[in-house]
Amino acid sequence: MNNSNGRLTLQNNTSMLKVLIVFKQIGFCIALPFLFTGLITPLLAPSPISVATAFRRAVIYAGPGDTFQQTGFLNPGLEIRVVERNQTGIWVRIQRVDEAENVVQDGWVISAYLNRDTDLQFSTIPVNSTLLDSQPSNVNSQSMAKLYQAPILPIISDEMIEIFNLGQSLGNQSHVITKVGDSLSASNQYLIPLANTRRELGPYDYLAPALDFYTRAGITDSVAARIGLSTYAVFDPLWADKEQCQPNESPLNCEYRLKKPAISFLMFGPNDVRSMTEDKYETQMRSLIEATLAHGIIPVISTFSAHPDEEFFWQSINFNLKLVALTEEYQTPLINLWAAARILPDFGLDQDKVHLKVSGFDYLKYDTGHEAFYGVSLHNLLSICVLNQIYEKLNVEVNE
Amino acid sequence: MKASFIIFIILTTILMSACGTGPPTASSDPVDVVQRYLQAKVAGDRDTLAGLICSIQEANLDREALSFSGVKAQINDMVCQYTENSNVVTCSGAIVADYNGENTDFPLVNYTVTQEDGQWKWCGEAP
Repeated sequence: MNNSNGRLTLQNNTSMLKVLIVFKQIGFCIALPFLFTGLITPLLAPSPISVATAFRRAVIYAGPGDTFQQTGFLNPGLEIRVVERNQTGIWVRIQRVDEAENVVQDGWVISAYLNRDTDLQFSTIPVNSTLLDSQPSNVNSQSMAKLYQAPILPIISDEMIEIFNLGQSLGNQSHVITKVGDSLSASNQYLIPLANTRRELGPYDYLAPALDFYTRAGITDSVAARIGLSTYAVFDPLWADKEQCQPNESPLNCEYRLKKPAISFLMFGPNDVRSMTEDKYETQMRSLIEATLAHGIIPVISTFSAHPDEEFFWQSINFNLKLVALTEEYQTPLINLWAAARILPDFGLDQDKVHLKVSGFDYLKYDTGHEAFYGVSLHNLLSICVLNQIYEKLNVEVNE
Repeated sequence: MKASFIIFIILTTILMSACGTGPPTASSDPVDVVQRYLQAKVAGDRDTLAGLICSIQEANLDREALSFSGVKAQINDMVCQYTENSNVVTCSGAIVADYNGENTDFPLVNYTVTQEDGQWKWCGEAP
């Protein structure tokens, strides 16, 4: 993987670590004088506090998630300071002060409810890494509490670096990503918009370097993401595109042969939950993970959103819990989309309560808070966040 | 008169069925095996599939039986033919899968057949 010379321009709050890495890379003796010239000092200085207002009434929580205690409301138009964010930036900690500078409100709100016509840039907002994404003890259902317990975003394990290195030895392309799944993955609104040169990241400026890296070759449709595809069908040659795939080649193997990706985003469940038991689902997902790992490809698995009014809601919880267990077992990255989507209207789902709601834009548009209203926008954002984590982890690993 | 007519009908029926060839069995017709395999596959008929697939495909029986379970599928315009001594059945037509009103076509292709224990079996796609 290429080492970016632009690392000094990264202004997130891991800048100190990165500066030290750069020191190690270019030689501490060369870098030392820069400390005294003050060129690096701005990177080490405390981040400025952003000022913003909400455009709608927002519930204030004690932590970055809807399972934390509600502590009040933020009314639109009131000026607040953004003092912290969670790992993604979907939640921010805000403070409102009176004229005497006394803090009169302090808590966490959904950042999409803030006006984004300001200079709010998450690269300058400190990350709170001590609070968890949820407080499962406040959830009545035991199985839902367990599912909430899984973090929204993973920590990229060392095992995945080994898988990446295996993939490189097999000829995989470090900057190529793909997707595998049913109609939710096949949607041209999922991942494809990442490669659109028009891009409105809004406050998510810190994601730009990873996005640039993983979209340099474009992102195209996947032969392993099809309407109606299941965890059985993805292994079935009959489901493979006969124009691109070889006889007896499954859609999965075909896609991996055609693209040679480094990372594969996998999401099954909304279809499978209607036609198979959770044990069979677990078996198939296990096969999918193992097949992906064997290709030297990092499998990034998503839990799936479910609507409580749906017949298969509780079965969906159990299916998602299988995913949590499998990703823990294999140390593969998990996006807990189910938990993240709980704050969205209709849990991010469309009218059919199966598919994720789309914004209709064919490019990334986070300047107006789409991630808190459209399930696909949220899924894209979380996928980019994982790409960013893998990108940073690989950079660090290579530098070491 | 009436009794002798009934006996005549019964004897004629027995005679005709004894002389007739009847429907082809799986063992005698590779085309029939492939067509029945495809029909059983879209229907998710595991038991029928188990009797039609070759031994090296047995490990994939669950996949064969369940890969269309999430959709409504049917076969349109299926025509298959076997070329002598080729072990290949060539089919045209398509499986049409309906998911929520959206149709996806899966064109039928060439399939390998093999004889095991004197019976023809479907054994995957042909190169």
